[in-house]
Amino acid sequence: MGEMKILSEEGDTKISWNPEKEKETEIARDKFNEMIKKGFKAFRVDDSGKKTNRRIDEFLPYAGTIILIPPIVGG
Amino acid sequence: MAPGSYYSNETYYTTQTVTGSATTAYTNCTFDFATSASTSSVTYWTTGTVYDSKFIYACDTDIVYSEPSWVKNMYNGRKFHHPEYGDVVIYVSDDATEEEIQEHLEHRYSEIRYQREIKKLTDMAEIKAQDLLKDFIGENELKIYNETGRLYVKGEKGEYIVRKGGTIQKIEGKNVIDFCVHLKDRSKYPPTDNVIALKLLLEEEESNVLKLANRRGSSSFDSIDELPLAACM
Repeated sequence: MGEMKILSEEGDTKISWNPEKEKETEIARDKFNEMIKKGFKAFRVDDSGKKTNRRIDEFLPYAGTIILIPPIVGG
Repeated sequence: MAPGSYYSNETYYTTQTVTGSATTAYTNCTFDFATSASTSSVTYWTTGTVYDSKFIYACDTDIVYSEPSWVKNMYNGRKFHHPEYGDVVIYVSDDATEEEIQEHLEHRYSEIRYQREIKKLTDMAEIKAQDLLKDFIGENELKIYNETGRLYVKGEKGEYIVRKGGTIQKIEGKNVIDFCVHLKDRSKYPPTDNVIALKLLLEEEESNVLKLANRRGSSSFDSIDELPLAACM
């Protein structure tokens, strides 16, 4: 199973999909692309969750967990 | 909601509508403070949460309620006790009828209920954000984060302290350099979401973060009590 956590006003919003199921994967991909268009950045997280690795720019159905964070600005 | 502001011992609430960008409006707000003897106006530089156009700012002040000063100048304050909401002061004319007083009180109680609901929602969001942070740093480091309000992050080149609610401090020898950088519209997000985002970005794209950040000054490492603890993680 893949999981996407999008940082949001509620803490984070989770979207899960089974990469073997085309429809679920398509919905997750659409959401991923929508957030990237909004300026969010995506990070792939390894299974242990403790070490974050690699920015990704494309949706990877088998990436495991993906964290999407909103854009940052200087204050 | 009627204009006015009030506090709990944890959170400052105001019904004033906030507009503008996070860096201009939300960080420099002037609020009326009501004390038993006087009223004063204080300008705060702070972060906070805007919910339903209302600014919520965490503070430790134990002041209960503040009406706009024109109301307080016109009427005497009358204190009432409610078993659930505690002491509530309302400002009404001396010849107000019992019905008018009750109406005023009911209005105040509904404000308190509304603000409590907002606080519950923002607290829940922060809990979720901290759960996610715990996935990255583990329970022990999360405990230190909650004690100090700071998270140690090792970037590609430098070392940083990310402060709860955003902004970073770069450790350089015995000094820390303050940088202001945070999520766009950060007031919409729970404070720990800012920390998660900055942690991920500093680990992966340190130079981009520093390009966006505005340098705010520097101070001695030793002058900030919580830093050594957070930096030991």
